[in-house]
Amino acid sequence: MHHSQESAHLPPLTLALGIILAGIPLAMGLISLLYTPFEPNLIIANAVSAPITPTHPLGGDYLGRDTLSRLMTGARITITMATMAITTATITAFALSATSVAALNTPTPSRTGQLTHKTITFLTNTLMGIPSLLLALAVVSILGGGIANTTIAITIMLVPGLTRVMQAALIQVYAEDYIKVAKTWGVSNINIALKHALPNAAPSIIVAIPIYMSAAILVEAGLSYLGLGVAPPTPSWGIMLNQSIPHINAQPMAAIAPATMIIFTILGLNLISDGLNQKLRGKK
Amino acid sequence: MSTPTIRIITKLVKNTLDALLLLLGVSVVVFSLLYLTPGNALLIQVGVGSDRALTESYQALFSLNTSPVIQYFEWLQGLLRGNFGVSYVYHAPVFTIVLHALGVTAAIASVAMIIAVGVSLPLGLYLGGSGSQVLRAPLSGIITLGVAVPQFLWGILLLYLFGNVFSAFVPGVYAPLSSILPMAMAGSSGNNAIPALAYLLAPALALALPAIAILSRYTYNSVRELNAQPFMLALQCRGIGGWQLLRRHTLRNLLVGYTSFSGILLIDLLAGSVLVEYIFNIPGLGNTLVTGIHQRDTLLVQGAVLYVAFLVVVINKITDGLYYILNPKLRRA
Repeated sequence: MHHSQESAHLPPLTLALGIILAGIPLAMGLISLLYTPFEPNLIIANAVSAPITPTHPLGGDYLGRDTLSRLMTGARITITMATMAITTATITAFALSATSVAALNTPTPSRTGQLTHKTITFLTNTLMGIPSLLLALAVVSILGGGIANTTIAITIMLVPGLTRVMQAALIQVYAEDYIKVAKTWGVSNINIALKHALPNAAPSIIVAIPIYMSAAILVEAGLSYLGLGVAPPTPSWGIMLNQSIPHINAQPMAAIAPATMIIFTILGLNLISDGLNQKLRGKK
Repeated sequence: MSTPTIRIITKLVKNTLDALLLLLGVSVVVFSLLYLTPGNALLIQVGVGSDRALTESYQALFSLNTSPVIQYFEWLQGLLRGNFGVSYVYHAPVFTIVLHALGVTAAIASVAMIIAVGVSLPLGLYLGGSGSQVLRAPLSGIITLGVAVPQFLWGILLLYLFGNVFSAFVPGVYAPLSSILPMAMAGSSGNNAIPALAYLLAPALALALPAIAILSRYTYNSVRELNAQPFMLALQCRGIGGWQLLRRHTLRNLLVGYTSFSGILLIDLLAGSVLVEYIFNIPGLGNTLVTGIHQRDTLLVQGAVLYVAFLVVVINKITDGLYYILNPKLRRA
């Protein structure tokens, strides 16, 4: 009895906590569109390694830039990059997985269909043979750094994993009768994928997205920390870590602040995924 | 030969062929790195706008004057003989450089994996067991937090703690395992042991901590699911409990999934070591890769990525094999 009550209450709590945690950096990023205490790259003479003061609530970094302003702008840049990457990757992965699953489920077994399915699966497996951070590194080594190239690298890194998740979900959906009925009615493949398969596979896809979003944020931070992602002085969280670690004794807050933001975001997204998983599964 | 033996052999052959095909695919991806990279190391070496004859002689030296397809097959042929080319930066064979770096990474990754398994298995079993209501909530809270803190943030924190707070080592200096072990043994009575071990322990811990959290959570959930099953109750009713129940039933059921999960984590650990090695300035595979990218040493990057891909495929196949061995259901099916 007690156990079932506990799990009935769990989803909203996990979800709420996740939304609050991930909401903090999101809110900071949104506010930074309208207002930051200082220009994020402005060097202020008396803010060099400044301690926490009312003017600089998180102090200043080794060059004398306001940490809070950089943190807010960094939130905007990191979250925008991750969102763009996850959106592009999700659409690409859906197109790939729907094509590969639909190719298998033709009314009469076809050679081309088998081949399409096998090719897409092989490509996915091949790219998954390279760990995601290394795949992103390899792409960055070709394209070079910067916001746009790093976003492309993260997108490419996300596609194979998402494709696999969606393939698994779509294979189940395509085996359902309503898909077969829609086919006999002559509904086109694209309409079947978008109007029938997508809504029914949505729960599995929605649960996976926060997890891949957190992977995107982690890899952005990692690449920028290695000096291969976003180029300084652009304030992304990874760049802030990269630049503040050598001066950690003089001004620890400049490193603690972006690290905390990363942890909040990852923890929040993990909790959101857990909560959604329980909620969507519970409803089924 | 009996049918099970034939089945195992067929499976083995099929798996090996699968792995080889996958590696071939990865090799094409990795080879295309060279082709897609603008401004390659050759130009850096020769200098932009330098003598045409010099450029051509360099091109011939690295056989860059033929078609990409021919170059791919030449490169592949070289790979099979262990010839990964010569690093533009280090002027040494990529194979040797990468092999050496791999040794360093492997040492840290193995220590990390031993710590991860050693801590997560008892912790997960304890949390999943019955008599731990008080500690369950705080420990699962810590575990959830541990999953969210990535390896490289642990790395930064540990570097700061070991280097600045405990003064156990000089940050950014690397001591190879071959020098740590004698120091640790000789100094086990003196003051040298702790600093010497810190060089290895700090990066290994950075890699192990998230793995501990993930594996503990997995163990904890599996044990709870397992304990809810009727056969566990039936066994307890028959008077089987304690150590015997744990060893013969809980562990045997748990280890099937745990092993394949550890395989995935080991791969994650190898990838994560790129960042951790950079933080601790360890000359492992990850640092070699980052140096290669910074210096546009494409052959070195190719070699390092290919090595990791090879390891990933091998680890995956070993995990698959272990899964098959540990799960009798699969053998009979």
